Amino acid sequence: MLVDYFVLSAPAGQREDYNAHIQRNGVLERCDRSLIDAVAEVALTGRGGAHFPVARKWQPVLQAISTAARLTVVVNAAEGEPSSRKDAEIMRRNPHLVLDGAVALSQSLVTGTYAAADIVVWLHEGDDISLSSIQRAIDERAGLDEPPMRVLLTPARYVSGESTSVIRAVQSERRTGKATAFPRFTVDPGRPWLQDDADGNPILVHNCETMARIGQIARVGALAYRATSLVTVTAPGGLRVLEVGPDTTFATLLASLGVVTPSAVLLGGYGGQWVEWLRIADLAVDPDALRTHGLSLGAGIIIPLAPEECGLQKTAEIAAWMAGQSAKACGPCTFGLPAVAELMTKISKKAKARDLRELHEVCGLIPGRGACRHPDGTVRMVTSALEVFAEDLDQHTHSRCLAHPRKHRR
Amino acid sequence: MTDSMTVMTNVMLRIDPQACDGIGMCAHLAPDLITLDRWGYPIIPTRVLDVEEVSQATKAVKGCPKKALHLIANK
Ligand code: SF4
Ligand code: SF4
Repeated sequence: MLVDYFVLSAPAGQREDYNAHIQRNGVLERCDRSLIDAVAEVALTGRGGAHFPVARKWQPVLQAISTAARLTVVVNAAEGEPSSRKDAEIMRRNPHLVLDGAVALSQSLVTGTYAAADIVVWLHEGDDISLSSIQRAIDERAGLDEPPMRVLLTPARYVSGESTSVIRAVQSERRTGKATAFPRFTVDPGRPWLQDDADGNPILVHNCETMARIGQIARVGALAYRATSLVTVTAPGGLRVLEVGPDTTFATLLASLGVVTPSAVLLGGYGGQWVEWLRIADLAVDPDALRTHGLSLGAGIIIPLAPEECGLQKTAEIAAWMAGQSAKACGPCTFGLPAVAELMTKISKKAKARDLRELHEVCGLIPGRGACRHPDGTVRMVTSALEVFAEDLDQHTHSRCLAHPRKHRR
Repeated sequence: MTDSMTVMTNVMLRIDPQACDGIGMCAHLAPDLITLDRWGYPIIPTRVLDVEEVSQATKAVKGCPKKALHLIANK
């Protein structure tokens, strides 16, 4: 059997159907609890952004499952951020690896006579190519002895990819037969991936790439599994999705895409953090390597600051976009994010000390006070900009800008 | 019956931010525990409550018109 290290094994623009998938990888063997050990052994972390150890997420599920009637395994493929496309690429090119992961996971968690499992693929409305690819994949597997699978669509909105939103929608769908975007349930923030619904039935959510990697580990085993990273880079021609090995540095990655050396990159996307280029250029594009430097790859989003762009202005634009994405249910997010965006916009024009003080104060009021992590990410991104672009901030106090030295700003 | 003393000595306040209306009744009922932010939304202590704080917290929980506040056992 040919061992393929890559999650994205189908060439760009091509979809691997079920026959091609099993020709290349063989039929998926039935999985047992040893998968849990294998996933722990390779120390797989969640690729939706949080990088939580995957196997650790399963401990509470294993406890709940002994008394539960049903486990729902959810593939979270709702990639809300415009600068992310890795999950869509997987859904379009290798949908069966994702389903392999969900099937393998269900089989390894649900053993004995207690519980049954079903599989939900959570996807944005409007992503028609991914939808048809995954729906076809589900149809192609129709005759197999696997848990029932279905697709749930969410209105296209950034925060609907939050695992808390996913859990709520799945709960509501179970109760009412219909997935509402934001039904109200109290989710335990200590265990946002698992929510017993009224029947005590666990719901386990994993990001699409994470699920594909679980599928990979189920197929090749811990020894042969190789940790690659899937990234979406904002390059001059548009978004580029690449799968790289842990020996690739940020410098080689951007050079391979013809990206001009930036002064900073936004790592982890709109809810991530700005990092000076000199700090990151020679680091490996690898979640573990980055963690040792106190950085996070998040959902693999890399946005280099283009030479003609002002980091502060870009931050203001992103903050405004994030404010617009708030579901406007929680006060500190509904009022806090527009305040952050407005102050950041003022500062990107002329950095007055009063506005800066106010921004710091408002940023201190927001984290941890919403029902989801959307506002926390926005604040993290903004505060990192104030540090990384400190020199430019100084210029902006004199109405000047490093990116546009000649243009005198208002 | 659970031993009410043990429950009361190890509890925290929790808010459901989606349910809260931001009118601020809780801050009047528990002025030593809850302050309001600049938008009028309550800032809830994130620590385990002292025994003498629990009665005030209970007032806020009971008085919240949106049932947005909860006393939960610290796990
Ligand atoms: S924190 Fe913001 S985005 Fe998240 S649920 Fe509350 S209002 Fe919506
Ligand atoms: S009383 Fe309840 S609804 Fe009103 S501000 Fe306090 S927590 Fe929110």
